Amino acid sequence: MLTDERLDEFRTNKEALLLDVREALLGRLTPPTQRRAEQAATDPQVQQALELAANEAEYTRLLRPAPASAPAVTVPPIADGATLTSVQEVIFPPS
Amino acid sequence: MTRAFRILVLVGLLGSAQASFQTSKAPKPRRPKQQQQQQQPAWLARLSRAPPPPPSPSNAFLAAFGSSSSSKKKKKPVATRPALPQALLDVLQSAPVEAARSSLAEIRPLQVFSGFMLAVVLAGSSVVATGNAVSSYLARDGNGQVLERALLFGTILDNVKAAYVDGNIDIEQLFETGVNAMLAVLDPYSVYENPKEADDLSVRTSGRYGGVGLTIGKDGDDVLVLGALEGYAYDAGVRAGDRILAVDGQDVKPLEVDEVKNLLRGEPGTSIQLKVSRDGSPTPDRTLVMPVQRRLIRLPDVTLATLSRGVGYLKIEGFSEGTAEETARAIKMLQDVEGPDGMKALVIDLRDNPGGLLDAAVAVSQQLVTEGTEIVSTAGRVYGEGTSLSYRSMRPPLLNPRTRLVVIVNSNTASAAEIVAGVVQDTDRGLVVGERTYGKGLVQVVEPLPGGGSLKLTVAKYYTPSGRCIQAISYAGGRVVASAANELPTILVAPNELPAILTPGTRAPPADAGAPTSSAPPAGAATITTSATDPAARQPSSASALAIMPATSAVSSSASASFQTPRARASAAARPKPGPDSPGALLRIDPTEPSKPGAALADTQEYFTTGGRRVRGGGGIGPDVQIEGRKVGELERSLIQKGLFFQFATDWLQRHAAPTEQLAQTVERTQETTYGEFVSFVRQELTKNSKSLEPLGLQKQLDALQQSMDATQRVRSAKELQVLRERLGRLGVPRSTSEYLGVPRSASECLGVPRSASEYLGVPPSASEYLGVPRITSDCPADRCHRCPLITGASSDAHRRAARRIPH
Repeated sequence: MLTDERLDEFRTNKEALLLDVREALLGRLTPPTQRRAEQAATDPQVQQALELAANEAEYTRLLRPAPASAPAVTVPPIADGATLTSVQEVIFPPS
Repeated sequence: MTRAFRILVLVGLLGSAQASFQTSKAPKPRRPKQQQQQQQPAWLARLSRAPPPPPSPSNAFLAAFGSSSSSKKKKKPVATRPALPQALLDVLQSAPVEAARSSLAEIRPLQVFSGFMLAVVLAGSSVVATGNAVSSYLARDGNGQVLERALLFGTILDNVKAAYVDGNIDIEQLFETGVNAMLAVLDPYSVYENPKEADDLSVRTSGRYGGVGLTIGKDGDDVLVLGALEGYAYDAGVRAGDRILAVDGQDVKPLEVDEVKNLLRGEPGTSIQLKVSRDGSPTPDRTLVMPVQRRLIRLPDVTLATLSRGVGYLKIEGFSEGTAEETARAIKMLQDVEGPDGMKALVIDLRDNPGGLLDAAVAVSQQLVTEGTEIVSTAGRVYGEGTSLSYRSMRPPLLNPRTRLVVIVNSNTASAAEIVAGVVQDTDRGLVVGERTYGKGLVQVVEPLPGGGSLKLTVAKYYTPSGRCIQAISYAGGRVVASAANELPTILVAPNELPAILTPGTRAPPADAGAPTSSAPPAGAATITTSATDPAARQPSSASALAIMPATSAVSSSASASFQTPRARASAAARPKPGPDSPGALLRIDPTEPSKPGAALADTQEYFTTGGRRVRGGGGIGPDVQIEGRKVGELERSLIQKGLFFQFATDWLQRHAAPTEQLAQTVERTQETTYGEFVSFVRQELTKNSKSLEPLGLQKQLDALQQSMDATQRVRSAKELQVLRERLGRLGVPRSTSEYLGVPRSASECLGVPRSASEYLGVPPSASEYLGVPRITSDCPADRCHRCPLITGASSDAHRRAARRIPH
């Protein structure tokens, strides 16, 4: 049974469900290669990847190492009872 | 003496059991006897390499005195004296007759007795020496324990067969269940495969078989075509959604899928007559009869290669024997386009790629990275303690080094696919985008067994060039240990046991960590680099380790505190947020919120790419740029699981009979109307069958079960649950007819026949495998085989074994 709430979901999810209906039909009518090509053309991940690959400046920037930054991080001690005097020095209480 | 006797009895029993098994259970030998010997298990190989055992007392006696039946027939009686040894007679026959007679006359009974006694003493000594050798073998590395347990297993099976209350015991099934239950304790990928499964695996890894190129499944009583391979059955006219009625006039309705599969498969060059029913067909009674020729089917791994506005797109579905060749052909085709629209960038899509052959992944990587680049290293006991096997590119890349490269991955990118993504990222050859990968970094070796079955056994872990361990979950000691945060099981291990079972990626570096491997760029694609350190411990700089876990001692001795205490969580929270210029930090896993124990430790391990970018460990490959994929909502998932999209397509096509091209145009033209029809269809179906649209997903129940098991520390069951959860969770955006039928990607493989390689060597338990340049044989030069400890000798059989190394 379809409740009213469920019927609303058919409206809110129409875009995704319509894609599925279309694919379920065309998957039986058109060649698999054509289907794959059309799916890729509407796939958000593929489209963003293609855009990034086409954008030389952005691509180069992302491949550049992050500028060296001093590890000015205050990390609380991990071991119980230990105290931290600096980023790289941990003093443990005498056992 | 009693112990030596027991050992001899054990060896004798096992030997006779092996002999009887080979004679009774091997219906058809899988390969020549010589090859079988090369592929015998290591323990058996050690035994066979040992010097031949001395003859038994009786044989020694017979050998010495020539009283075997054969020699009896040959020898001639010499007067009234006792029969002489054949060897002695031979000597006598070769000497002048007179001299011989003279020698014979000199032999006295006392000499004969002395000779006999000497032989007895020698034989006795041989028995004692053999006993000692066997004792020493059994005492070494627990070999005796293994043999005892094997014998005990046989005794139990024998008792069950002889005395179990209900008869008709299927010993084969019992054996298989027992062995797989045993292996399941190790990890989900180590499995025993019966002869049929072993054959299927062989097809999947080779990607070749004789058939028509159909994927079939059952829909009620109907045998349904789930997919028709282009170039094969598709070109002959078969379409997804067709219902097979008969093969060569034989009605297939009463047959099981496997039986229909056997009808479809056969010798390339022969052909079958296929009768199908097609919804929407304008023919009377909607049936079609078509001849389909059987051919040597090559399952494609590169399923799409396109070029648009200077950017190429390559979809690789899996890694089998022909993947490298297909990839090379596709890259060459795309690069051959000249002019302003020539390829300046390439996107390789590895989403939902479950992996396949390690060699295939290495060969594909070779086409992308510069010559001499380390592609991946594997480490495991099989290579020897402290030794890893490093694979390097041995030829210039096929892809122009100036071509920008982007690799798309998602959570179903696993195994061999992760190797390719890993080397692209770690060598800064390109960018990895999408979602964090699955994290399966374990190598399995397929060991053929007597009787046609095989043992798929995990023997090693992978490490990317930066030293990251790809494996996300450690199954050390039969316990599940998560090394990444999201989607991984709760750590099921007592805190004080943790240091002992940390995965390599999380292990504290040993004192001599950072010592480089001593290998120079090798001539072959694979080299063994002997290093005293774990590959995982090579790369992380000591500075970064300090910044995260202030001292290595804290890792080893206070790991439980770092996992359990609020203070540990606070330390994680204090870590810097990843900045926009920190691509390596763009991970799906948010290290500031370790939702589960283990996350804080695992995710903080930092590694560096060749160019100095930071990347992180924790299992799998984190993308440089996170791009979310389309998510499947609850309603959509429910409709897919109930097969309602597929059923609607059937209904719609039955109502719109017309030629295929015309139907496709109608679908495009009338989308709004069709959607309305779909909603009405769903409503009718649910009313008719009194069903609701609650998803079949058992997520809530699974969560409850997980909590219950966590509480009771039922570790093994928890592993099984984890595997089940992974399989259920892998329902993504449907991409094929079978998925609209409600058959999830991973489950559809059980429906048989030719799947797209991706669905074969699927990720996990059953869980996961495609033209160009280096084929597996040409890519595996002899010198490489000599170096590979898994392969002894560079025989063609060794090549085949190399090809079957499967990273699952």
